[in-house]
Formats: sequence, structure tokens, C-alpha cells
Amino acid sequence: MAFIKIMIVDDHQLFRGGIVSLLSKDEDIDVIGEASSAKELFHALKSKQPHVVLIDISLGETDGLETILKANDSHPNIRFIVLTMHAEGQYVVKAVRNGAYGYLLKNADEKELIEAIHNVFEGKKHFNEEISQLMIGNMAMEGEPHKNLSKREREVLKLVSNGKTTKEIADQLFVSTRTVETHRVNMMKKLKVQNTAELIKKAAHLKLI
Amino acid sequence: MFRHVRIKNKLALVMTALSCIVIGIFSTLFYLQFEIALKERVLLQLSSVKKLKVVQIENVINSRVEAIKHLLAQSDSTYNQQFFNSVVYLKSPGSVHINSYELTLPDTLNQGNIFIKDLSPENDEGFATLAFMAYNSGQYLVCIDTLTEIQSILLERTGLGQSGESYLVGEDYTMRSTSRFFPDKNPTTILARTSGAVRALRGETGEGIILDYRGVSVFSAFEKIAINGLEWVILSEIDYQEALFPLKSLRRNFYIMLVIMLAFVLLASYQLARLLVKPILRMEQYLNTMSRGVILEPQKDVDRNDEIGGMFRALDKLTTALQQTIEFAGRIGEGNFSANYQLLSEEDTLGAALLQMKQKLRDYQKNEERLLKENQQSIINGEEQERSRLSKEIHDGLGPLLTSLRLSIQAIPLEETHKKQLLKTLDDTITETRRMANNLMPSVLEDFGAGEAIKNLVIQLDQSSPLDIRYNQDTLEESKIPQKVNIVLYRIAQEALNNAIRHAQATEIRLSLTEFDEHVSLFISDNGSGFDQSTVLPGNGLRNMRERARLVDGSLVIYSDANGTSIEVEIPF
Repeated sequence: MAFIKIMIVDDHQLFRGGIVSLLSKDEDIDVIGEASSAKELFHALKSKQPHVVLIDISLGETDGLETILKANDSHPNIRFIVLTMHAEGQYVVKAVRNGAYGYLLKNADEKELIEAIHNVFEGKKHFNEEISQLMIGNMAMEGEPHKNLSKREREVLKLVSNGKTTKEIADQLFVSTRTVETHRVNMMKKLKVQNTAELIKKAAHLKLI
Repeated sequence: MFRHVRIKNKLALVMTALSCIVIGIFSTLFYLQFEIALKERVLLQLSSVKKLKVVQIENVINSRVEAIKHLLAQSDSTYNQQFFNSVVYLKSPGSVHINSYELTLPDTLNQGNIFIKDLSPENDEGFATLAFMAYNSGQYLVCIDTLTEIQSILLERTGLGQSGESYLVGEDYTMRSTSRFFPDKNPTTILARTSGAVRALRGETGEGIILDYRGVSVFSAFEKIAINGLEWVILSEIDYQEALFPLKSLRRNFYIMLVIMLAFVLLASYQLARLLVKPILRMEQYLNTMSRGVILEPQKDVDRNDEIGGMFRALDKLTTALQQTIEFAGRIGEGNFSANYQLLSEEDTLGAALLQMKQKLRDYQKNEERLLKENQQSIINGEEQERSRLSKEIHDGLGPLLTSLRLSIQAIPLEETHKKQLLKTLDDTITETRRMANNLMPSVLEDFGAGEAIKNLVIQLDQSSPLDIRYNQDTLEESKIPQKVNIVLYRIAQEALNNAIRHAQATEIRLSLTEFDEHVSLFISDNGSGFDQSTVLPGNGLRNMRERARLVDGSLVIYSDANGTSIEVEIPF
């Protein structure tokens, strides 16, 4: 008795067929529907309630990741696994942010696919080693949320307050001197001050350094 | 006609003509004045000479009258001899014959009265001969005398020049003294009924220019001498010709002077004209050379304050202005459309035309640049679009087929090692396919922007080579960088990284992407061997980088030396 209802959203019928036949081997999994686009998916969701949806990122005109975000609003119980060719951290991160429970590449083994479906059905998130690496590699370089001053601006400010020259700052942050100057000018604008001395004073007052 | 005469000659002519007129007027005035003065003087002189003669003649006659009175008082024969040719006493009046003279004693003679009668016409020689008649207590006295002193008085010609003479005329208008011109002629046969004589006989005393008895024009002073019934006229005259001789010589002198002056004026005015015209000729030369398009250095040696100086200063201004204009035109010709030009005046049509031309050329150039840019942009955009399309085709077309194939193979019951090998090959194919699609156009670039795409590039390099590569990504969460700028940034970064690794053998690479409100800045530096931008070979993509930056109005600056290379790109959006 199959208890995991899944749907597959992919714009390639051949691939959908392949996945369906692959999953049919597993007794716990029941493919209750297919869709080639977000529109078809939402149409199908009116009559069927899958537990897990396998979804591709590129769906022709529509974007799978946006679809996850939308579906999370209207069908919060459905859990999405991204099944895609895109092996870049950015997509993984975006998928996670949009609420995907798993992220698999299309050349994943059937074993892993089935494992992932099970995990996700049980409420666990499934990201294998490779995908986690992609995600972490991407996260490592993520900027902090944008406050009054950006992370980079505060870095520059710190260096300025340490008495570093523009050239030194540029070398340290590997940006051009012009960029350092622009940062400095932008910070003065943001903090409404007229010169560097005032900038440092005000930044200290605001506990930015 | 006058218009074709050269200005030098015109000036000389005008000056000469003016001088002639002035000299002529002055000379004429002077001459006339002189003539008037001269005539007055001559007449005055004649009057005074005449006056003297009158006095002398009156003295002569009066001396006779006194003698008669003396005789009447006492008869003295010696006394008679002294004064008169003949003295006759008569008892009664009437006709009497004395020495071949016929005369009639008038009976109107009263006691003490002396009556003089002119007997000159009856004198053989025509000498001035007078009869003095008187009556005294019953007897009549008649004295006849030829007054020879009169002739000598009249012949005294002091102050009368060459042709002057004084002479007496009787009531019958014949002469009573010898004519200077006809000394052998009996004076009484010479008729001198001149207007002077007539007027004097009428009692006028005066002077004037008249015709004398010879019909010659003379200056004449005349007066009547009337003593006891004797009526003579005395005239002092001088030929008009002679009297006015000074005038003649004056005229001659004037002519000589005039000629000399004319010559002088001609020469002087010619010289002056030449002096005046010289700068004008020079000006003509300048203008001619200018009209041939040769702009000479402006004259610096003009310090005259007259109109010619003004003209040269104006020429100066003109040449300066023209040179400015030419310089401006030249600059435009060189394609320097930022050249500035101050209009010389409101009406500076040439300047305005040039400015307009500059504007037109600039517009044209701008337009051409714009078109070229658009062309290049459309080429690059087309290329990028094509890459993007191809990338998607491979990714979305080939990818699913391969993955479907993979699924199929997985489903086929095969010997495990075979299956693994097949799947390995297939996975490699999939990886290769993804790599190809990525090389054409990374999907991340389209979906997440240059910041993320460059990051992937860096991660890939970091993993695949022993490089020390670091990337500072400072883009906004919601990046506002337009797609075409993203593509440019990515391609430049790709190219720069490629150059740093391939050509410069860099071991350290630093790059950063900083997004600002309205521009984005990409910075790439390496510690490679650097390159000389002037001799760098084409094909290393430098031109391509520059071109891409330019097409989105960005700037790309490269610093390169033996210590490495840094590239700064700034693109506005």
C-alpha cells in the first residue's frame, strides 16, 4: 500500500516518464500526477494532494523555484524536492530559501532519489554531500543583511579609522582606489557628515566600529 | 575717367589744383589790390605834379599882372622891357594892330581892371602868347608877351617818368605848350579835345584814365587855370602803359613765382601723395595676399594715429580674427570638436557658419558614433543572445535527453560493472554538456547576475588550480545591475582571469565586484609578469574588454608593470 503521494513537474515528458517508471519499483511511492508547467501543477493541486513534489527549476517559461515559493503559501503541507541539472550553489541556496526540502541533480542514482523522497516525506531535509558543499561554498561568500552601512562599507570604515590610506585599503580589499573613495563618499552621505574626521566620530558614536 | 586714375595721381592732382586755385585767387586779389593802389598813386602823383605846375604858371601870369599894375601906377620903360615883348598905350578901345597881332579892346574895361586875352593861336610858333589889357584914367594899356617860362615849367618833367608830360590847352582845345611827342609841331595846330580837357574847361578839377590827344590811353590829372578872363587847362599825363609797368613786372614775377610754386607743389604733393598712398598700396598688397588665402602675420609696426593707422589696426584686427577663425576651422578639420570659438561680433557670419559646421560635424560624428555603437552593441548583443539560446538549448534540450537516457539505462537489467561503466560515460557526457552550456552562457549569470557568476568562476578556478585567488563580492541582495552590464562584467572578468593565468603566469589574483547606487566597479589585480599595453598583441582580448566596457559607457583602466597588472572597470547604469 503506497502511502507517499508524489507529483512530478518537468517540461520534458520523456524524463517524467523515466522517473515515473523508476519510482514505480518502490512500493511506498505513488505517482499521482504529472505537470509540465507551474500552471498545470496548480491546476492538478485543485483535485489532488501530493505529499512530495519533484520539480525542475527550468520549466520553459516558468521558474520552479518561484513556483515553490508560491505553492508554500497556498499549499503549506506539500514538500518540494528540486530535481534539476543546475549544479550551482546559487540555485541550491535559493531553493532552500524558498522552502525546498531537498535538492537533487538529475543524474542522481535511483537509490538516492527514493531515499530523498522518503526523507522528505518524513519531514527531514535532504541535501547530499555534494549539494551541501555547493550551498556552503555559496554561503561562505554571502553578505550580511543590509543595514545602514553595508558590510563592505563598515570594513572600509574600520580601516579608515585605523589610519590606513586609501591605497592600503584598496590593496587589502582588492578593490580600486576609486571604489574606496566612492565607499567613503557614500558613507559620508549616509551618515550626513562633511569629512572623514566627522565620519569616524559619528561612526564611533553609532557603535559601527 | 577720374575713377581710373591712380589714387596717388588723384591726390597729387587734387592738391595741385587746390594750390593753383589758392595761389590764383591770392595772386589775383593781390594783383587787383596792387593795381588799384598803383593807379591811385599814379593819379596822386600826377595831381601833385599838376598842382605844382599850376602854382608855377599862375605865378608867371600873376607876375605879369603885377607888372601891369605897376605900369599903371607909373610908366617905366625898363620895366616894360623886362616883362613884355611890347607895351602899347591907347586912347580908345576897338581894334588895334600890334606886332602882327590883331586884337580888339573890349569897352567893358573898367578902372583898374586887367583883362587877359590868349593870342597863342596867332603866334607863328604857336608859343603861349598873352595880351594883357587894362584901363586907367582915360588911357588903355595893352601888353603882349610870349611866356617862355611856361614852356620850361611844363618841360620840367620830374616825376613823370618816360612818357609823362604836362601841357596846356586853350579854350579852342588846341595846345598852348609844345607836345613832347611832336616837339616840332606848332602846338596850336594840335587839337587836344580830350575828355580831360573838356571836363577841366567846364571847371572840374580831377583825374582819371582817358585817351589823350594822340588817342593813347593815359593817366591824367587836369585843372583849369582861370586868371582875368584867361581860361587855360593844364593836364599832367603819363602813359597808361608806362604807369602800370610795375604791374607788368609784378605780373611777370607772379608768373615766374606761379611756375616755381606749381613745380614745387606738384613735386611736394606728388611726394606727399606717395607717402600717403604707400601704406594704402601696402594694404592693397596685404589684402591681395589675404585674398589668395595667405594670412600674414599681423602688422606690429603701425603706430600712426591717423586714419591709415586706424586702417592698419583694423587690418590687424581682421587678420587676428581671421587667424583665430582659421585656427578654429583647422581644429575642426582635425576633428577636435571641443574647440571653442568666441564669435567676433553679432554679425560674424563666417564664425557662425563655422560654429554651425562644427555643430553639424559634431552631431554627425555623434550620430555616427551612436550608430557604430549601436551596431557593435547589436552585434555583441546578438552574439550573447545566440550564446544564451545555445546554452539553453544544450542545457534544456540535450540535458533532459541524457538524463532520461540515464534513467532508462538504470532501469535496464545489466551486469553491474557494465552498467556502472555506461553510467560513468553518460555522467561524463552530462558533465561535459553542462560545461559546454556553462561556457556559452552560465545560467547563473542570467538568473543571479555577474556577482554570483564570477563567484562560480572563482570557485572553479580555486578548485582546479593551485592559485591563491580571492574574490570580494559586494553586490546588493536585490542587485540592480542590468543584464547587459552583468554580461559585460562577467566577460571582462573571464578575459582578465584568463590573461592573468595564461599570459602573465600569475600566482595570486584578487578581484572584487562592488555595486553602488548608480554604478558598478570591477577590480582585478594579479602578481603576474605584466605586459606593455602599447606592444601587446591583439587576440588576448584586451581590445575586446575595452570595447565591451565602452559599449555600455563604462571606463576601463589598466595598470601594468613587472609586478603585475590591475584592471579597473567602472560601468554606470
